[in-house]
Amino acid sequence: MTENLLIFGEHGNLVGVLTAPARQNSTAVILLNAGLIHRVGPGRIHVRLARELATRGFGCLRFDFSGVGDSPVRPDDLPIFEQASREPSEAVEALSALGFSDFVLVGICSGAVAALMAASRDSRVSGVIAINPPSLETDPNAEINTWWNRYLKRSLFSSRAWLNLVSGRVDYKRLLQTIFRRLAGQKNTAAPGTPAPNIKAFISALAERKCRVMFLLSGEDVSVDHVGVILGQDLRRNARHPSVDVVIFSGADHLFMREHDKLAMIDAIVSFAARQDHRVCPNATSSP
Amino acid sequence: MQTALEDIRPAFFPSSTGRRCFGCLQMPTSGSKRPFVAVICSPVGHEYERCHRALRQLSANLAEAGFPSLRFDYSGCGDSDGGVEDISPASWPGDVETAIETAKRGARVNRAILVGLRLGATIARRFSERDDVAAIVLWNEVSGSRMLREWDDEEARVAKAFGRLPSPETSVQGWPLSKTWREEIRQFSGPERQVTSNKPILRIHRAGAEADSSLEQSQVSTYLDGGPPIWLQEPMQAIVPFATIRHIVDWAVSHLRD
Repeated sequence: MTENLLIFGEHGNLVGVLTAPARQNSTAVILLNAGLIHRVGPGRIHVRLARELATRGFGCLRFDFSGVGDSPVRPDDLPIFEQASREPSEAVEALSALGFSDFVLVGICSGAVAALMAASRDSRVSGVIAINPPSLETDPNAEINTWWNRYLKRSLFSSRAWLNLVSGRVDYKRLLQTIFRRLAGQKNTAAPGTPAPNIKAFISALAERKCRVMFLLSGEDVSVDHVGVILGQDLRRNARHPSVDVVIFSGADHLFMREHDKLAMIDAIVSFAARQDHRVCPNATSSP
Repeated sequence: MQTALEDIRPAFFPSSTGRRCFGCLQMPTSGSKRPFVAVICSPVGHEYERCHRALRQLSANLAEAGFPSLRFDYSGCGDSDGGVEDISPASWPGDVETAIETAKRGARVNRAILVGLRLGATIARRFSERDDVAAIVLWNEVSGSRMLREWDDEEARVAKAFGRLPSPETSVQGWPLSKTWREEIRQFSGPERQVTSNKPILRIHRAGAEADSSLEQSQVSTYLDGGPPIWLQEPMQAIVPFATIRHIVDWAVSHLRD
């Protein structure tokens, strides 16, 4: 295994580290920033994941979006969502030049949205792992429904949630807005001029071209409710879905802070990549 | 703060362990370059990822003022080689030494300024007597033992909020931490290590911090950090303490003459 810098992108401003296996499969995994956390990932999980993938024969690139971590800003004034969907493709370009031909995008939180968005526009990406995507929906009711479901199906029956309510550890504004808007049938309104990504549309586009999508969701995180609203089912009761894989990690938090949750997440991603490589190269043999 | 014209040069350089540390040398892009390079000694653990953006912006601001700077990851941290399973925290001071040499060579200067935040300040203090260290910034310095106590308190607080048991034996706030690392981090003693050389020192501290009797020499400046404690903020917030950063840069400009 080797780890080396990869400076790439249309403007040569993207800074990444490529972890390359001794014997390389055709599949490379690309790790996207989780919000503003730089490319090593929360709790250094991207580094550990990259090294684990490399021992199984997969290349893995972790890089910083423009203006995040060590990558300087782009000089072309690209809007944030355009940048987030274009720069993973710039990473695909760079890795294609190094001999990789199949690509899996992985993102936590906003990185999950970027992964879905970029994959829906780039047919070279054959797999997406979206981990705890936040609500950035254009559907004005999605966020209200997400929080309504969480309050009604989870918080209402949780003694800890009630304790948080009386001890001030609750976003009261969101709670009241959700209840008011839901009961009054009012719609949330998106800020004008800020078109947000539509995860539902991305999933449809990816299913159409047979790109595999897997959601990794933390049981303690609101993303279970959010993705449930998008997929139109209560994932806490039934996580099976015809066009995407869903894995829920019971007790895990948004950033997988506990060590055993991290290991479970790494295991799920490595298994996905292995299945992906077999699909792309049916004659490939498993690494030990 | 950040501009499209930044000159950032990421690279791996040999660490004290014979493996590699990752670093980013940032050079000034306009005006004249000052003959000092700032070597930024970051905090460790989960504090590192919480402070990364702030230190990145510190580099950008130093560059605007004409100072090159090197940010780097200690062995077993960030993008550097190794991890909790095969790296000893006792090697981190050695990493600072190689970082100083790498920074001077990369920036083509002979003198360095050490800027240490939290445990990074404690480690930086060890090099105050080096001839090529012209000045030191001790930014909310903390000893290893005190930092571990604070981490355990935070871990317990967060675990309680999630209704689960803390697991400090394997990780703290998502950062892997072994028993060996704990013991070695505890060995990093802070302010009791006397600074005797008469170099410019900037001590940045929080309200209520104890006076530092180890810095009884004429050139010590102090600055009260009234902003949020960035190492305690959620990593997603990535807070940049602009007033403190401006103070560090202004202090360096006024205290370090060509």
